[in-house]
Formats: sequence, C-alpha cells, structure tokens
Amino acid sequence: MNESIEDLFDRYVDRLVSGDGVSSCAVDEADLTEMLGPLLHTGELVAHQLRTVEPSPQFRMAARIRMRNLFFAKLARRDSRPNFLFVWWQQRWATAMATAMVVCLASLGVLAASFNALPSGFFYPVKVTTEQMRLAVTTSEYERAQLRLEYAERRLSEMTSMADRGDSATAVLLAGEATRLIIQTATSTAIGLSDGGSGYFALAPDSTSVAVAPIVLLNADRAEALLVLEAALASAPEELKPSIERLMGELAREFDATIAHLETTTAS
Amino acid sequence: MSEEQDLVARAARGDADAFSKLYEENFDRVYRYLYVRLGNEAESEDLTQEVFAKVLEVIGSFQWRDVPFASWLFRIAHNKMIDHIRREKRVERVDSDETVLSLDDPDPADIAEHNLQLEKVRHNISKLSPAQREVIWLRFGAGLTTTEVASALGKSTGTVKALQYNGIVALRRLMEPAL
Repeated sequence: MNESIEDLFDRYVDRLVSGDGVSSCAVDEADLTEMLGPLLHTGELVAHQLRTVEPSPQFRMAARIRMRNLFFAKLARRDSRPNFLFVWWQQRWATAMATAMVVCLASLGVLAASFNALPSGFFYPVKVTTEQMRLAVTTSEYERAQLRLEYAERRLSEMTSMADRGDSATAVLLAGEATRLIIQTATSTAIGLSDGGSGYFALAPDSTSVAVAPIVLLNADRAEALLVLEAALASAPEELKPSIERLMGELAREFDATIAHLETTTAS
Repeated sequence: MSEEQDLVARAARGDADAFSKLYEENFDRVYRYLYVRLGNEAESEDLTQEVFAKVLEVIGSFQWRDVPFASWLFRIAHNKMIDHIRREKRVERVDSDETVLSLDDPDPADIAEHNLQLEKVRHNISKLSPAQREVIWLRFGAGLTTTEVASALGKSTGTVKALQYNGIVALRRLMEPAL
C-alpha cells in the first residue's frame, strides 16, 4: 500500500464534506476498515452537524442588499462620481463624528437646508445622520415604522432625481436602500412579518451585462419591495396602513419613472 | 486561466455578475465558519458582512500565485475574527445562542435537539489543539479542500492531512460515550 493512512482518510473526508454518506465511503482496504470505519462515522457526524448552521433568510436578504449597495458605491466612486459621502456615512465611526457635526450645524440652520439634499450634495450626510438620530431616539415601534416608511419614500424620490441626472449607479444604491428600509419595517415588531422578501434577486442576475444591470436590479427591487409592502399591508396595524398604501403608490411611480429614464439613456 | 481565475479577474474589474457569483458561492460557508467558531448569531452576521466588504475593497489586489481564492477569502475571515476577539477581549464562546438551522421540519423539539447536538460537537472541537481545531473548522465547517486549507493556514497538505486525521481521532475519543 503506497498511500498513508492520513492520505486515505483524507480521500474519504472529501466525499463526506461534499455530502456523501459514510456508506458511500466503503473502505477498499479490508484491513483498514476496522480502523477507518469509526473515524468516518465521527467525521460524518461532525460534517452533518456543522452543515446544519445556516444564516437566517432575513439576514441573507439584508446582507445581499447591503453588499450590492457597497458594490455599486465602489463602482460609482471609481467613476469619480461625487457620492462618496453615501458610503462614508454608512461607516460606524462616522456616526459619532456626524453627530457632533449635526449639533454644530443645527445652530446655523444647515439642517433645514439639508432636507432636500441629494446624495451628490455636500449636506447629504447631515440629512441621513439626522434621520438615523431620529430613529435612535424614537422608542415606539409604530413611530419607528412610520419613520422608516417616510425615509423609504425619500430614497425613492432621490432615486428618480439621481436617474434624471444620469447617475444610474447611485439610483440603484438608493433603490436598494429603500428596499432595505421597507424590509426592515415589514420585519419589525410593529408589523411582524417573519421573512422580508422572496429572495428573488441576486446581487446581479446571471447573464446580465454591467450596462443593463441597473435596470434589471431596479426591476427586481421594484417587484421585491411591492411584494413585501403587499404582505405588510395585510398584517399591519390600522394606523400604519395609510402610510404603506401611499408608499406603494409612490414606489410604483418613482420606479417606473427611473426605469423609463434609464431605458431611454441606455437605448441612446 | 481556470474558470475561477476568470471569475475573480472579472470581479476585480467591477463585473457585477462575477462578483455576485463569488459572493453567493461563499456567503453561507463564511457565515458557517464564523458561527461555529464564535457561537453567536449577531456577531457572525456582522463579521460575515465585514468579510465581504473587505473582499470587495481588496479584490483588485488579489494575485493568484498558486493561492486559491477560497484560501484567500478564509484568511480574511480568520483575520477578521481574530481582530474581533481581540477587540472584544474575550475567548471564543463554547456555548452558543440559538441560530437558524437548515431543518426541513421546524418542530421546536427537533430544533432544540439539533442545537444540543451542534453544541456538543462545537464543545468537543474546542478541546482540540488550536491547529487541529482550525483544520476541522475549515475542512468540515467551511467545506474547503485540503489544498485550500493548507494554503489558508500556510501549511503543507501533508501536515493538514495529519492534523485532520489526529483531530478526528481525538474527537472520536471525546465523543465516544455518545456514539
């Protein structure tokens, strides 16, 4: 026999970790069966138990959206678009700095000026930090859900504005952020959906060129967000229903406008 | 150029489709690797996202030089986890919180039983030597090949195979009463 016991065992482990049962690993060398058989059973038990660990569907969905946002933010940054602040504000350490900035700027009336800021604008971080602070100090789950729905509406409006300016990468980021807020609201205790979405979209679907990816992603977000909102509407408390219905109307309108604009610019 | 090399090269150039494939292929196993080591769902979720954010940041600088992509990815995961443990100034948890398991039957009793079994396995793995533990986690938890594990740990494949064999022998002894 040329193969060492470790080599031989490793060959069988290959089969175990690829999902085969120990029965498929019949030890060819009869004199080794007694030695390797019990070890393979232990290996199978370990592999089986560890394989049962899976991320939750909610986390998988939220992480995918965040990853997609980061990906397109990187592309946008690489293309020298001035939306680097959008990524910057997502960093944890930025919150503390921005909090101090908001306190300073509040006295100068900058908060009011930031209300209509777009991601390419200098005051946009002030806007999103103010939103985060409002969420952080709101203790009622219903009020937090109302705020998230309001912020989702803002992201949708910003998405259309950025598409109008020809910045499709940022428009996609904003669509993802709006969808994330909607899923967060739907799975919050105020509404209580157990699974925020169908898992329909990938970071970018197969066979999609980078050129058309924004439109495909926007369509996927539109479908996903509407599905979640429909489910949320069915189980939401009465006081949240008007906000959800209004957002559904806005969502369809803003996505349609954005997609139509990108289709026009892509075709030309 | 292999298919994986092509995928990584395209992802590094900003191809969303290629990056998406790498992400989807590796997401679950990175999470699993972190969870079986940390035993905490929230921390594993945070770190999984940090790992892929880091991959996105540095994938442009990835060079093959005979290092498989999975080895490179799990080095990042390992380093993130070590940084996290140092930052939190704590030892890795042996006991874990409840996590979502891939069970077809969502019966709470089955879930509890599975959690118990999983914790026994994690607890016994934690008693192995650090090198054996790392090999078992990467091989059985993350599903890496021996070559990928060797490359991730900077060891020879022969050493990895020996650590794997001895690790399972030790686990067998530890788990014997239950088997």
